[in-house]
Amino acid sequence: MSVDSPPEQFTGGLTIRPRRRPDHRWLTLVPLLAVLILLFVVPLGSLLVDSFRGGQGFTLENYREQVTSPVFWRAIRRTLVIAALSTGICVVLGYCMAYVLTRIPKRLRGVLLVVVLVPYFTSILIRSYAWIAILAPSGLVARTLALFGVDTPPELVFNQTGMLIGTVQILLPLALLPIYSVMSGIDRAPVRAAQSLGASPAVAHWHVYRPATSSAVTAAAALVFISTLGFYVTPALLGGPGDTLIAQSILVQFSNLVDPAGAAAQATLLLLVVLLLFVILFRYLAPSLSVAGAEPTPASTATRSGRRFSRAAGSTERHEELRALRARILDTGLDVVGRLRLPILAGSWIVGAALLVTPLVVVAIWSFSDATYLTFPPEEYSTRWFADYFADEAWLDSTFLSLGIASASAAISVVIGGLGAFGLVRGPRVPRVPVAILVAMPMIVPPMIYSLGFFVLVAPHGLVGTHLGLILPYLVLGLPFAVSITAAALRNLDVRLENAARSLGAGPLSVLRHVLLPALRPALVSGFVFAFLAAFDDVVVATFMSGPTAVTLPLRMFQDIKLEVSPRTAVVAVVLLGAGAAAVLLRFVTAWLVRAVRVALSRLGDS
Amino acid sequence: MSEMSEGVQVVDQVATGGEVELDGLSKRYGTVEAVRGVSLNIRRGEFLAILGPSGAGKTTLLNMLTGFEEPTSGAIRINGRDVARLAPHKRGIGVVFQHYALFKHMTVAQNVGFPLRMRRMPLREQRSHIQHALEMVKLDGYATRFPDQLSGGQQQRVALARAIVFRPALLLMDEPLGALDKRLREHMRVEIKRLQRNLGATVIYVTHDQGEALTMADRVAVMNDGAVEQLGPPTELYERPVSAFVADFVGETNFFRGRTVLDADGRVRVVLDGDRLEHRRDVDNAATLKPDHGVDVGVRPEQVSLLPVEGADELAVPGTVSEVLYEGGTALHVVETAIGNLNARLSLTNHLQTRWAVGDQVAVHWDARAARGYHDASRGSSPS
Repeated sequence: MSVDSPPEQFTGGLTIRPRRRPDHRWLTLVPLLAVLILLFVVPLGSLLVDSFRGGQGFTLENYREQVTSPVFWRAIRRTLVIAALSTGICVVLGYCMAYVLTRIPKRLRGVLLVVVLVPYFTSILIRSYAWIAILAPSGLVARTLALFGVDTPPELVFNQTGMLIGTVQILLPLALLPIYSVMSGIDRAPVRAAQSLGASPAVAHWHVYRPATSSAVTAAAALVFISTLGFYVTPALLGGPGDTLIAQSILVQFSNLVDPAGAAAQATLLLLVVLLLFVILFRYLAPSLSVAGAEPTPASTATRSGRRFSRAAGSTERHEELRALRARILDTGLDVVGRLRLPILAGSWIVGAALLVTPLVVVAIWSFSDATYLTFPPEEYSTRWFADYFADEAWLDSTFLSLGIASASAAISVVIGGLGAFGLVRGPRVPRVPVAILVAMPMIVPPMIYSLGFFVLVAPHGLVGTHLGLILPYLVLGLPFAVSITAAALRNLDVRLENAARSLGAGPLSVLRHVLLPALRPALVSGFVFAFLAAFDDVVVATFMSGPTAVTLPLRMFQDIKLEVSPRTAVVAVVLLGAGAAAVLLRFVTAWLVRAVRVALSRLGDS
Repeated sequence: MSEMSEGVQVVDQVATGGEVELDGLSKRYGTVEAVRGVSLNIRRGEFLAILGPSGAGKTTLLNMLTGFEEPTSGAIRINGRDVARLAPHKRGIGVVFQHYALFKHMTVAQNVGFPLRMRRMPLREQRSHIQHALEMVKLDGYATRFPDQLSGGQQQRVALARAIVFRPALLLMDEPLGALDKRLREHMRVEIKRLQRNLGATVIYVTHDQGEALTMADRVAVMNDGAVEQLGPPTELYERPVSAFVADFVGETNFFRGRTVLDADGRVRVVLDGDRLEHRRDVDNAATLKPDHGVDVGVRPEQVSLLPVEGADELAVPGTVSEVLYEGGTALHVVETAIGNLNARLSLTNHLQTRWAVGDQVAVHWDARAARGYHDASRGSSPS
């Protein structure tokens, strides 16, 4: 049916219906839930079952073995230390940088946001790889130090230092962006009020501004911490041979030690920790995950601090004097820090921007190196590695394979996710919070755990090394992005628009075609981009699901780097970045052309 | 008044306002001069309103007073001490912000106690000061509430209490009633006035609402285009505006275009466009007008009377009533005349007053003392 069909609906509109027509909009959730349950919950469930599987049925032996293994404990301790350190650094740095963003002129803010966003959208693999060129003994830092006469530079890579630097660089935008988005909505009037009432800038910031950011800071910390717990690529590339984190440890247990049950037990333990953290921090994470209707209400915060205050009111005089003294010491300390606020804030951006941008610049330069080994800056320049790449069938095959698979999985993600988002937002009587949590899970659960579960489940069915075997898990990884972005756009879309179209005679499909799709197009496009990148950037799933017949590009790069650190990956990175930039440029140019043609046509029409 | 090492003034135990002097205060942004040489002397305990339309430079002036903008030139002296280049937190000025700017995560008591805490006042003393301030704004009993749990009027009172609790030498209010509904706004006018009188506080009250300025202030400074256009008590402002802008912005005014002429007796009189040439009219401020210049003559609608055509004064302007708008105790009559359309506000409670209807022929008359001539062409637009 289309809007301009003859008005036979007049009778339809006048028909007296004895009861309300049942609302079937929740049905659009079915494909989403089916995919998530079959391709996500079931693999994790089977992993859980595997972890209890022994020679004679059910056993706790696998857990006992892991828990008593000092190697496993070392991996856990190392993971927690790296996660805690990178969380701390990312949050402090991200907080300062985000604050600067809110206080600078709009134009400069745009430039600095690009500095954050371009690395954010660049492959984790490529960014980690760049750090090798920067930190290695023949790399940028060492050679720079040599210029100043430092002949024995500190060991910065293939150990935990390198791992930490790489992790911070990769997760910094993840901490900065949610904090910035909350900060940019904070009213500055109370800060000014505090200053007019006698608080120095730092004291006013601490007592009035900072409390307004606290849940965003917690969310940022939780996101960084949980992400680090499951990190694989960066530690694997920048860490030393003995510096395995849990995700690596699971892989080693599975493939090197051929102990699937042990790997399953380790994975289950890690999953348990991640889920526990998720539950504890859910209240703070909900807004960042765009979970419908789960935002913490201001009332709840009010009662919380209200309780705190009444407790204070009931405490003794001496207690209060003590608290006042403590507050006085804090304020004095803040006054001191406040004097240094400008250098601190400027410093955060100098460090942050250097961290974020250097890898990209290094990769771009390195791709033109003539050397076959790692040396940076290159001694001689050539385009031989480009020629090499475009002549190498295996690399080109991988490139096209990855492009195809990522596009296919992202497209399916957007269709299923978009439909699901509609059901989630518009469907009546949908338990929104549980569904939204389920949808967010593929983003929260470390890919190593999920890939292992998926692999063990489907390997017997001959899916390994097939396109389908790659597309299915990537589809799952893309869904959280597709759903959350579309759902957010739908929530902002006035439902009366759809009702108006319905009242004007449009059927469900016409509403979709003429109202929803045009309004949601930007959301669907960005959902596609995020889902595409999730697939296109993946090494972990590919490690399991690529057979010798279907090696994805990231996996080929990863293996290449592990084998020898050559400029080849830099070339691929430059080709991909160039293609991405060209695509963005092309979009602007075509949009400009279309507009120009339209203007020209309308002028013709006028004259 | 002693000072702490941080420069924050301790609470002044004497509950009096300070003497404030703005001396040639200017602020330039590039080539734009937002505030142009504003000089004002505010007496101890005086309530001064700064009135002006948006874009007149009120906000910039206010920001210079609070310390969030540094003046390009000029001084701000509070009790003789120039604070123009001090950081906001060292000025000791109590500020009531436009949307209250309360600290949402703190209780009423914590909000009000904040300036005392910043001044390192001992807890016991703090408590009695908070209690006293809350009593003054009639909010005792609300100490443990959060701002979210209060009504708009109550939040307003918390903001007031917070600004007066440390007995600042100067209390600044930035459109403090802007967010309240009409009835509450009128009630709060009385409350603020009472509080100010009880405290003997020196107040600078920034507003675009002429009603607030006229009812509350001892003196009003009307700002236009970055400068003070007129400074004086409300009655003077309303009855003897110095410019067409002030006449138009404060209250309503009928303007008639005309030309000044020098009469044989040496007095400047006005001939209105569309009027008979021999009708030379007197205006109240004739002595300040230049002869042989274009002029706008302003007359307040309530100063205009409508008389029967028969037997009218020869200076009365004949016209036709084209609209009658009933206002309760008064009715606004729109009259079409040769000198232009004009408004006449007539009292309905006066039994001697003739009731006019649409289409009636009338003679428009006003007393020469009620008419003022202005050479400037700029007019404000009254928000009401």
